[in-house]
Amino acid sequence: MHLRLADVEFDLPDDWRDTTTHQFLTADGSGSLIVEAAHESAPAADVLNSALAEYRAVWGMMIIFSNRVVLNRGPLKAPAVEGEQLAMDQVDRLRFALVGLSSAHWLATLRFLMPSSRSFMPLVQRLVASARFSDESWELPSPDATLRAVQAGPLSLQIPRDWQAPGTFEFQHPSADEVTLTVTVERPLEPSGTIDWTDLIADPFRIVGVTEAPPPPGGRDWESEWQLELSSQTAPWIVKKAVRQVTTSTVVTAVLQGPESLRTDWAPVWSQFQSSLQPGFGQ
Amino acid sequence: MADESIQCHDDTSTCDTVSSLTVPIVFVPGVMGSRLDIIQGRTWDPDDSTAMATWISLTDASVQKTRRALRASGSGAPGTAAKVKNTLYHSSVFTDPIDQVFGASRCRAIGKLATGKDEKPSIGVFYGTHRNWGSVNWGFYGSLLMYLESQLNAHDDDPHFPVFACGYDWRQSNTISGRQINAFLRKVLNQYKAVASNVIVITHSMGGLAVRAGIQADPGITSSIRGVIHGLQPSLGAVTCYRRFLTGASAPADKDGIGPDYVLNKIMGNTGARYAYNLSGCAGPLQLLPNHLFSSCAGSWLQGLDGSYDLSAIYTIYRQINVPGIAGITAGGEEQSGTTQEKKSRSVRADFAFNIKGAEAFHQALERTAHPRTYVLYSTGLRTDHSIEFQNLFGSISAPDSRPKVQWQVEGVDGADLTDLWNEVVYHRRPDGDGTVPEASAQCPTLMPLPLAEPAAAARPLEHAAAYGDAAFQALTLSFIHRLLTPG
Repeated sequence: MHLRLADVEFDLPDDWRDTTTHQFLTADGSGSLIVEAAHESAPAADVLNSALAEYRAVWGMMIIFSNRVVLNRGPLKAPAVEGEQLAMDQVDRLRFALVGLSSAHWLATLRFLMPSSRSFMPLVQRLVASARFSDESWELPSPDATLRAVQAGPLSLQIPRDWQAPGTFEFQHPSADEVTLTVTVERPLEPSGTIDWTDLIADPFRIVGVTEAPPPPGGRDWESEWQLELSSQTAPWIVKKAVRQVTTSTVVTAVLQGPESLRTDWAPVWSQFQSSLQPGFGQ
Repeated sequence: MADESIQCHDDTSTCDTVSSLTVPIVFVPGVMGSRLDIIQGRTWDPDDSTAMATWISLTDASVQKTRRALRASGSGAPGTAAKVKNTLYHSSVFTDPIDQVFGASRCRAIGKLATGKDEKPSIGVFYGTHRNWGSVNWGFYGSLLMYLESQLNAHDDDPHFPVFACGYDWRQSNTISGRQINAFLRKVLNQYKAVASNVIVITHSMGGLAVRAGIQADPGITSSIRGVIHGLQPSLGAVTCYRRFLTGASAPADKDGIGPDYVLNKIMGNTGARYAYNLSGCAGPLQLLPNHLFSSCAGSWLQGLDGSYDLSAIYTIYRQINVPGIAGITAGGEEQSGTTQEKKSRSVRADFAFNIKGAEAFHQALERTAHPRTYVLYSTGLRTDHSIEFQNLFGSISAPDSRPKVQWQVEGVDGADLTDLWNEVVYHRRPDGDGTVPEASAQCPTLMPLPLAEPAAAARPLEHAAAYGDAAFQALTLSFIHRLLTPG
């Protein structure tokens, strides 16, 4: 699959699972849109009902009211529930909307949670109208200067320009959950060979080996590999990290980790990612 | 603070004057009460509705991600890393801690003195980062921190009793948290090394276990602690923690609650299987299950068992597949919610076994450990899980969420006895606790040395999560601080 994260693009095998938390935050962080998607097929109404049951189970009586509505999604219809609830401080009020989406191969939920205002539902309608799965081909709405296109797994949609999109994508090996790859953009350029272990591993561990490729002449890119001994298991654990300055303003950090025994599985993926990474356009 | 406390000589200081007595106060929160940046793209921040919204899982993939984010330790791959946040929550929209701190005149004056600036951002950084108040949930603990800071430093321009907070990664074993808390206490003391020789520690709930574990792991820290005030500590565990393996966060027949703690518990799992699935990788919260001493202090809390069950060997019971064991419920959660790989490798049940073994070792090592000057605060009078009665243990007991039809019967005063008719299990609740922790556990009856420095003190009925937000409870806490400031 070909992926775009902020202003970079890269390739990964189609079967690696995208486990990114696709949360888009308003400029002041007080509201958000969360997109969850799965490679399954189900009627949109069922997707919504299931999501609504879970949502109500957690928020309980903090939900003040809710209404069922139907929204336009391109030429399609999307069942939704909009309402109002208390915030965690039990004082402030939030508007929420849940939207169920489905295509031939995908299902997804959109979840909006924002401070109460009259502009809430019109904004929800505009954003839902632009949500298109990768297996759909209808024409997107005409570009709007106040919105920008983003990707959330198999879904592309438009969000306000000042909203923050995730800066990190996370992926899992299709059949070995413990093998993970995270790709982050816009991190400060780190010194060659450094790693913040508190960002990666909770268990006590011991570094038993390090390999480091020398930075290319004049370049600031680097790649390192560490072999660890974890307190919780005897098999060697590998952490690979690469930092690439893709453009003058964009730094990409990628970290892959997993048991050494699965090296033959993840080594080609690492190579594919490295060779395909390039500046993206159109974001 | 009261003058008589200031005028008492400090037993460990060679310069026992009012002006030289400096004793930092460090507050340690309970489970789920610290704000965490979890690296798998989740933030645990009960002050922030948008952050907590990511924990509500509407698809299977998101359910699985929630477990990974909560998983701090286990038998296979390393746990998911997390960092404790240390900036005071700030929002232009919601109830704003920085506004509140700035609005409290003493906090503002102390912040101004420390930063040299009378402006909100600087004072927010001072309290959020320097005093580390940003590491704990403001909704639960903010008013306590401001109250203590204001009351204890009411008359001095230079605060002699600076109030700190010490959030920690509550997902991990309390043994690890204890060591990290010790490091924090030493760091605070180092800042005041010219004027202070010890700190006073105040704990809430599981924070008490973590602090005691720190003392147990490193007895040398004892001399750096003037005394400890444990509030609402489940010293023997809590039946509620076990009950949730059967019913999920709240019993289905109970009315929906309201409040942030209700939401937080629901996130941990609103069915027994989901709760078990999520908790399997949480070493700390699993240490809240009733321990091997619970039954000898609080009575037989699992009833209807034959003579082969020994509640003093409770971890052997937990490891059993069939109820009253909970390993089978965890396996059910793995089957129901796990990834293909988790099911294939049985990694969820392996994590559970790993962390239950850790909980057993934890409680056996901790057992009676306590600081020599310990005060205990608790709350009672609220309906609290007291015991669970299996009326037909040899029948086909299934986790409540996997049966085809749910039937409940509510009996007793205020629905005190709740019967799960399908599984023939009665949940007995009694008004002898704070809604979560029974008073028999919160009174810390096994702590040594006995007797405690003072008898445990009960507050009027206050709910477990919210107690430290109550003015009377805060005043009681302050009175115990005053006692600790007098020579031991």
